[in-house]
Amino acid sequence: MATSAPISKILDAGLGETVIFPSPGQVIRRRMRRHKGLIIGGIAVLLTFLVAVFAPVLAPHDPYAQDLSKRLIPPFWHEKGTWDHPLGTDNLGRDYLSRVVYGCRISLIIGFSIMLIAVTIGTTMGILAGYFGGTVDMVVSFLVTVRLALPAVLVALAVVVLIGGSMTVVIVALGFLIWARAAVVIRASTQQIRSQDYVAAAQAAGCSTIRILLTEILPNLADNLVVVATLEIGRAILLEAALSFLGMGVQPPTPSWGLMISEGKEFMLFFPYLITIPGTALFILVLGMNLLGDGIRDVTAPEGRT
Amino acid sequence: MKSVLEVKSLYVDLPLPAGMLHAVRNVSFHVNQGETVSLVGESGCGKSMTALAVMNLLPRKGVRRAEVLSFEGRDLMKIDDSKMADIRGNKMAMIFQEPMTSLDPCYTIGNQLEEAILQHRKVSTAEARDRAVFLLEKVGITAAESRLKQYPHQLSGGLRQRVMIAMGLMCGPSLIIADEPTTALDVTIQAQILSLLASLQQEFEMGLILITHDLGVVSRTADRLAVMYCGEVVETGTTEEVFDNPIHPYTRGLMDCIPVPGKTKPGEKLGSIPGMVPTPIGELTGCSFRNRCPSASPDCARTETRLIEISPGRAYRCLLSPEACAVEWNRA
Amino acid sequence: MDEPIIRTVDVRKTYRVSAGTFKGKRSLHAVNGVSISVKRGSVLGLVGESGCGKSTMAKMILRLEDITGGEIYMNGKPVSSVSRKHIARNIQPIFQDPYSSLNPRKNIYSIITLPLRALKVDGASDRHKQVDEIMGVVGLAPRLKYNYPNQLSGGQRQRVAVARALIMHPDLVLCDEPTSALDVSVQSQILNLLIDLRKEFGLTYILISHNLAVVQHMASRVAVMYLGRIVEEADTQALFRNPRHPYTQALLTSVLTPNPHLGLPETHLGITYPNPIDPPPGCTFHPRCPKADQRCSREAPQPVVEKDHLVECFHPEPVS
Repeated sequence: MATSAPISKILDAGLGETVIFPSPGQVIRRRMRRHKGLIIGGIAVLLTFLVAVFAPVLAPHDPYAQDLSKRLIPPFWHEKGTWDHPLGTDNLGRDYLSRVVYGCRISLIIGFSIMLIAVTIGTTMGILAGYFGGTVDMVVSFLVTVRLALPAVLVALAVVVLIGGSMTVVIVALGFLIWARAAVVIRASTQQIRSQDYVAAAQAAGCSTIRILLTEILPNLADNLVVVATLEIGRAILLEAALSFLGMGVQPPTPSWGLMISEGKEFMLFFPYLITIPGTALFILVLGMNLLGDGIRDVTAPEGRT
Repeated sequence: MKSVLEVKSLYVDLPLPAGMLHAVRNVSFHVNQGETVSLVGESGCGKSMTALAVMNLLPRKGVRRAEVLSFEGRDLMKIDDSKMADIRGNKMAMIFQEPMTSLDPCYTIGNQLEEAILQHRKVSTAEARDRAVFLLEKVGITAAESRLKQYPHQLSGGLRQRVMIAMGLMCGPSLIIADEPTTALDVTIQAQILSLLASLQQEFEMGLILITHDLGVVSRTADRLAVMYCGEVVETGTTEEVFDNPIHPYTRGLMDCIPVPGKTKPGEKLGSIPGMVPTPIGELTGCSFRNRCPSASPDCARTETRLIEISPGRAYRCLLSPEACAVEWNRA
Repeated sequence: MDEPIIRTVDVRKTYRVSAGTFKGKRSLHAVNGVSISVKRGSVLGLVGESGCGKSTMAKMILRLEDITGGEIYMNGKPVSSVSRKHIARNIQPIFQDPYSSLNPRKNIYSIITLPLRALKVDGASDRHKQVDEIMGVVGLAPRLKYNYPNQLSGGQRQRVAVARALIMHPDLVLCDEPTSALDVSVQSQILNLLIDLRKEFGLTYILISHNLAVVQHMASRVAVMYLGRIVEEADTQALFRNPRHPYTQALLTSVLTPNPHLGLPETHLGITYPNPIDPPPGCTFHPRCPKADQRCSREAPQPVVEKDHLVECFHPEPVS
């Protein structure tokens, strides 16, 4: 251009503000701050997580210590309640608060482990089906259909009955049962990403298929993966609670929330807190997880409503 | 000639996270019966926003204001939403760029065409159907009766755009707003669709607003045109005037940018407009083209530009006189 | 005589597509016997309407699609015998839509260096220097190096795509509608850039476009495709001065040059582009052709070359 530097400066001023477009990360952070569901869910999950990590500090008593002289003490808001056992004790005299706090650990460990197995299987299948299509896609779709025809809880029950209940068995059994949703979601997004020109450009640049899957497709699946993972954790926690409630999951005396509800059900009429307290904890954690998952989906959506 | 649409000092503001976007600023134009007026410009110049403002279809939170916005003598600024909805699709039709997304894939062509008139007029289904067949034949679709039973995906792009045009004509509108009607079509189809639009417009004496970035399309179809840049009209006049004697540096720049067989030398570099369009967010002063203009001087930043009328209907927005514009342009 | 960079011999691509529920599969001949050759340093324009097979041709040359018939020779060697990496070193693409051709999760530096990393080119240390250099060449401000594609305008994105294509210094750049998604003023910037780069690096282009004005401006030779076949091929000047095939003539008349004194052209083409699954018998163009006669609907014309001007028609215009 013919204009010299100072003039071009004069010319550039007052032409509206220079709009610096935010990077993808900045966009997501900006939307996050405005998303109420995400914030509430995030806080609920974070608190549960902190409780699980600091369980030994937070729990006033040993969750396994029985004291039959202190059976069924009601929580503090009851007239017979004591601050020594803020949430009361169960029928074996174990401190209920401590058991709920340690139950956090169990729920989260189980939830995360099941999710890891399920999402790993589901993502692998989904990416392969979505990227290669054809026969691979047909096989994966068939597996997904077969899996969806199996009732997860019943199959898990059968496995536990055959092998015997333990945390590991529950995790592995459920992990291998609930990957279908992840596979379906990831397959659909992979198909969509695969048709983008940047994948063709990477192929034309000589990238190996593995490299394309890992560096071109997987990063663009990250948002979807986080959403699916979060929702799957919630579902896994609920399934574990259901199994434990039926006596086929985590075995006593482990303080699992499902198991606590199961143990409390005999005393339900006179001591309803035995059920409502672990029930509420379960409700808050799963609701938090779902809010978080939905929230992440909203803030990472390409043209999400802000 | 009777004026169909009159727009005077139209402004459109859109609040964005980064600030207030002044998408359309002080735009005035009018469309007469049987006349084609073209809004020309590149993406983001406000041409589509102008059309949406006329139809009152601005994005949520978008605000329009205008000194005059009258359609067939009715003040559109004072009309309520339900009356406006009645005008849209009835007296004012819109044709969009992508015919696939503007037709509903779940309904047959016939359903959609009939619905277009049943919504606004008290006519029987049989009459609506007759009208649909009549118009499909008018837009050059053979075997119209059988086409009525087809779904949009069964038609080619060119046919879909014809159906869209027929749909726009169902109620006998007096104004058609066509937003890039041929951009998604192949070249051979483009000429056909444009001829069709032109002949229908003559036959039914409609006004046509043609929104496009394609100078070729404009030069062949429009009676008058307004070149838009950064939300403002920078030059306006009849098509011959503007193409034969462009004044504004932006108009000249645009015309130099496109390869023209027989005029530009193959393999030689084309003219270009350096830099990028500014985003009209926040306070704006002076000429918006100055940072890309070869004839810019510090005055351009200080002084507000206004449309200078050199003859009735012929105006440009620059501080320099037309002669000085030409001299500066040839020097640069 | 120099061996052409790309020579295709009777290349075919047939897809099996389902014709409808319970109707089984049918063949779609997207490319139906195309023979072209691209000389070093030339620009071949490939013109045609959507669905004519020009993009499939591009994908086969890049080997993103397998060939179902015929052979493509790169520098005299059949591409089926060389590795994809070898092709990548020599041929790079520029795609139409700069919004879809750049990975939104990667910054500009990492997008441009992708070919270097994929082909394991040594010298990771001076990659930054290489990127700075190529960004300068294509006219991208250095400060954009760590930005993401969504922070760039359409023109800037297309420059990034050009930079990515050029970082390996390929012989041939395959431009698939490089400017049709861009604004007029940006289009000329990119075309000028392509012209400059060609001079600077001695590049060869295959330019696929539906915009005949652009092709005439850029190309040294033009091939016109219709329903998977080349119906006319000649040097640009000859083809535009003396179009011999009725389809080429129709294409040329439908170009809308900016001229307010001309009306809209009448192309006499009828309205329907035939369905490629169900191509018309004989000459595939005959239902739209004003010159068609009995023979055209029965027999398929063979390519005839006269004075280096190929045409596939029973009633071509004579060579002038």
